[in-house]
Amino acid sequence: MAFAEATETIERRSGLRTVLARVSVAPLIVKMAMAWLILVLFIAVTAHWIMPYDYQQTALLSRLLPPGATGPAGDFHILGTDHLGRDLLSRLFSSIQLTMLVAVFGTVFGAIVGSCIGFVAARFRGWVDDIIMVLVDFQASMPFVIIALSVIAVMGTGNMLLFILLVGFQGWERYARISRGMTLSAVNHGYAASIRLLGAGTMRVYLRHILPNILAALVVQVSINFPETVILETSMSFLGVGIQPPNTSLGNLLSYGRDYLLNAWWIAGVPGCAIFFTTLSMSVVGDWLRDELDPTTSSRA
Amino acid sequence: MTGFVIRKILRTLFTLFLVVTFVFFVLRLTGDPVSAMMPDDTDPAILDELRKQWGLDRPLGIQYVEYWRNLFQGDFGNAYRDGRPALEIVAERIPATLKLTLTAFAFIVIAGFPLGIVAAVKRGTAIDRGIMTISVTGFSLPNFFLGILLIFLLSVTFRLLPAYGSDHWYNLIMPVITLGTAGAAVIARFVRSSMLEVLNSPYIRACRARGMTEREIIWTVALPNASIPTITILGFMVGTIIGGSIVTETVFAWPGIGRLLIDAVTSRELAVVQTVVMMTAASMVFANLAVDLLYLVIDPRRRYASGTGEQ
Amino acid sequence: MPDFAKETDPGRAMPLAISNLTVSLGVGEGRIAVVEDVSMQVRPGEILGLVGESGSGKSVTCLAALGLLGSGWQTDGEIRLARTRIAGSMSEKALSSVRGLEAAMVFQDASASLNPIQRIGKQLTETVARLRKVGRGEAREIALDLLRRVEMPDPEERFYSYPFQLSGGQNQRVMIAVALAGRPELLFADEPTTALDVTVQSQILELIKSLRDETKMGVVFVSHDLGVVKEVCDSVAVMYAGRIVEAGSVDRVMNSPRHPYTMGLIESMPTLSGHIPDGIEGQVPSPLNRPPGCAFAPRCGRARERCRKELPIGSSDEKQSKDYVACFFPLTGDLTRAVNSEPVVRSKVANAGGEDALLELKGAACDYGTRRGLFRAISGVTLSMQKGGSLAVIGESGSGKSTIGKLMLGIEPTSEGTARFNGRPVPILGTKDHIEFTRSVQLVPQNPYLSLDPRAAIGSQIEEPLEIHGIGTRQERRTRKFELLEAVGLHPSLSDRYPHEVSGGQCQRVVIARALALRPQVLICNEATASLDVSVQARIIELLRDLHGSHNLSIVFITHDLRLARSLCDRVAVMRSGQLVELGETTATFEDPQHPYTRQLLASIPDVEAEHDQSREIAQ
Repeated sequence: MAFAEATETIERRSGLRTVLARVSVAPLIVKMAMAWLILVLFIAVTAHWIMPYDYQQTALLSRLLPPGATGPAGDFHILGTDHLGRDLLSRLFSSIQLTMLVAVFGTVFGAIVGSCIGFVAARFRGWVDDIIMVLVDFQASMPFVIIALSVIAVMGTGNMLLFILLVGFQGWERYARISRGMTLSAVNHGYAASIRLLGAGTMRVYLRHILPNILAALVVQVSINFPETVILETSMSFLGVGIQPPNTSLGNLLSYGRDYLLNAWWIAGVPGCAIFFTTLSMSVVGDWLRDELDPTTSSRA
Repeated sequence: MTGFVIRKILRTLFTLFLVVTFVFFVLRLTGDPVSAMMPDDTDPAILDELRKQWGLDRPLGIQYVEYWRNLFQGDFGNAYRDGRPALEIVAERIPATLKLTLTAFAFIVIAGFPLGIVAAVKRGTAIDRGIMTISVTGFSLPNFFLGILLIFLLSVTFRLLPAYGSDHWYNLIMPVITLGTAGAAVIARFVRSSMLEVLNSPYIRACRARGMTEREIIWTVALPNASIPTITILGFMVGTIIGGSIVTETVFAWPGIGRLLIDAVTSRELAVVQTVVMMTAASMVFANLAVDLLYLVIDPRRRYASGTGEQ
Repeated sequence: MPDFAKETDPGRAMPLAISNLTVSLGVGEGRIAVVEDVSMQVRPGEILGLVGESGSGKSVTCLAALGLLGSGWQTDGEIRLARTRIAGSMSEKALSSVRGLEAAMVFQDASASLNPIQRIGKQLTETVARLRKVGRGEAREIALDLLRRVEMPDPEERFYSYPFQLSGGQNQRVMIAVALAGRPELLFADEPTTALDVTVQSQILELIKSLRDETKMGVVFVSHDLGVVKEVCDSVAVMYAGRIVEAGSVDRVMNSPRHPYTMGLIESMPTLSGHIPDGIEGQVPSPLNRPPGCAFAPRCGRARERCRKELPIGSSDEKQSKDYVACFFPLTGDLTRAVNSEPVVRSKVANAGGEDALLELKGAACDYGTRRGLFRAISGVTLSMQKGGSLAVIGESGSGKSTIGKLMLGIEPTSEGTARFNGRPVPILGTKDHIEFTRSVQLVPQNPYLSLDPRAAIGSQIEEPLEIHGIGTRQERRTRKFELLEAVGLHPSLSDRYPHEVSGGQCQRVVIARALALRPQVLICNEATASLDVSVQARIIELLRDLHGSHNLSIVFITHDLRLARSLCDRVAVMRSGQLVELGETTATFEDPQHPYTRQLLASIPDVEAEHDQSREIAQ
């Protein structure tokens, strides 16, 4: 409607100040989600300095202590201890660190690889595009966890780098689809075509014009992909085919807790809630981000 | 239209071919299955013997052809532990998994659609916000945590349902909720946005202008139009459910394929793993084919336009 | 079945009477009035034209009359349909019992206004059954009859078609049939022909007129095209910034407009006689910042101090009357425009073709590859343009006119024949030679928003061609940027803005500035003004004319609008179904068209100047 154009607010995007201004008017729930994510990242970075005990140190006398309890040796445990008497808070910090490590590196890796594949498909078209699209379709028609499991079955568990790459690979086909689709639509009927008619070469069109334009869509995809990566990693660790002891991820913690639901719910509850709040926060922030970055909705009152 | 159907079927077969090729190469190229399977201190002579016995010493091309021939004969290899055919081991787990996944699928549709419709119709109200909050919570809850939460609440705390078992209908309740919640949340969200998009379209305004009531518009115009794109998401759901069933079956000790797969991965029963992967891929690929064909049935635009091509 | 021949009773109620209608968006302090204090009536059998640029509030007025605005909107004042008073407090249910029966509506985009997944016959039958409360079988008969009434070709067959299988014009016929289903006393037609080709447009206009004659329903015809309004309407209301600024009979308003805005609109219309449009400077103010006095004052040449302070509104008596102007200093006297003035001679037209042609197509054909094989877009086209010339390529959609532009720009290669520039073949996009070629030939595309990078500042985009071709230092490019902005009439401060922050007309100027950066010899304009409002359109044409004169620029103007072609170009080429049907000097072609298709095209154009001595049989 004509009115929508008329009331369109003039917005400028530039610099950190605008970002902060946007955040400051975000709904409370979004701010809370951001606060949680910042806390999680802080823990992930500083885990080794802030954990009260060694996360691997067992103490048979302090087994299955509830949260806030003090062990026989005068050791205080805010979140209690597990079945081997290890301090749950320390184990939680260590797990958050590893889970975030896998999620951040994996997501970045998958995003870069996937987007590049999409770019290549759109740039070269022809048989390169055909092959890439067949692979994308193939990937989209297989649950990723099945592929990950079959790779683990062959390569064996315990190789951390392989595991990070594997988990990160999840969702590559969606990055590829987005970057390919948006690049093609830009190349075919938009500004890119008219810039080519000014005599510009393809590299210029791709780097100077298309990349900045599709970056928003890729960022949104990262925000969708990140919680999925967290869930994939914790699921596989939970199933015993992901992170292996003595390293520990939130999924491992939860799987130990499963056996003690009857008398020590906190062993499963604490890591479960940590995962849940993290994925929930990421979804909330992602939704908000999507609305903010989408030019068709951001100008609406 | 027939051309379109044939193209889709050919594409399906081609994807299946890719799956088999993928499995073959992952299994043969990324490692030596014999040394992977046997304990590390096995006598090298025994390994060589095994390799010869399984034909692993022959050129790759011949192995690949051989592999296909075996598949066509229904030979997916044998489990090395008890020597039973892998296909047989997998087949006996199918009914339990089907029971779980089909019920979960029904749950997703039955819970997801009405929630999405109500949220769209009551957009902007507390009902809409409530449903969307549930939805966001739903797909942020990892299903292994949701499963444990259900056990803790329904079995441990209130003692309403047994935590394990698969013989009675009520054994299905917790696994189905665990498996279906995320999907139902996604569907509700998608149906809502799809409905909203349709409700904002010019033809809805035109329907109002010719005096159709809001109720008529929602049921006879908006819902049919909004349902069409949802089919794609339902197709994706098949994959989500299959993937999710692995965790769900493990949490509830459900005797299905998912748990079998985890056991096979940890004990490196490659024959069983490959059988499960292929069957999963086949069901996914056929689900996609079904989605494509379903589109032809319900969307006239595709039905008539499919001659010229792509979506 | 005498569905339409409703007994003509002289005491019939007024189909529409609106008084002091104000429509606003939002609540409380932040409420924004979009339509203010509007009054109008429509008698049975009358076609009222509601005219104005986009943003003037004409569509909102119509939607308000049917209660279609939805939540968030508030209406004050009185709206009366034939039997019912529409009030803001009416429930959806009460409203739906009125819609379609007392008043129906057809929209601009007919293809998008039909349920895409239901056959049109079914949609029509259901509407008939519901509105006339008849059984399925009877409804189906009536539906078929309605399709015949709207002159749908093969109605029995089309009955089973889906909207996507029909053309835009056919869908508009279906929409009109649907609107007639409830035998409404009033029809709102919101830009019903804007999206259609000229020949289809005139058929639909004829249809609306003949249905009005048949049914005696009142019609509110919303349009921005005064030519169309002049052809179909009995009376006119001109809206500006949410208010009616002038109303009266179509003859009075078109021949002696009294409001300066009406005058401006009429002046903006290119005419078949080669009138060069003036356009109106500036744009419609948004409802958020309407000026305190007369909303038109900032754009008005006659505005004085009083106009900026006081709001010119007539008394309520005056407003109810059918002749009304809201202006302190109205114009008087008849419109003095020489109908047959000599077209301005802009450049000498040499003989066509020959060795000295700047841009030339010889026996050119172009095939596009599709899944079904090759599709020949044009064939056997021979035409040429001299240095400093201007050529219009005219045709309806699908005629191949855009393909001609593509060949000239090297976007597509010729499949047969040749495309030459300066005697050398046009290089193809992507080859090395093409980069050099872009310095000589530039494109101004249809939609300026689509051709600018949404995430780059306007200034940097104007500089970009210079950067690409490595022309000048950073400082020189900067200077040139401001020169270009000035040349296209844009304020230098716009340099730091982004495309979505400026208006469509400004955006098109930016595109033109960018195209001029390399000092090209030829500018190819592909429907360059089609997406703009009339007044803006006129100013862009003026700009192109100036550039044509002062920069020794040759222009190829590809358009579906014959009037624009005439006002800009020396020579014209008429395309139909991929063939060139007529080529000649503009004046000669328009005055004495040789090909029957050209004649048909000329005849189907509503012209503000055409004498309307045709009988307007409003048989009362």
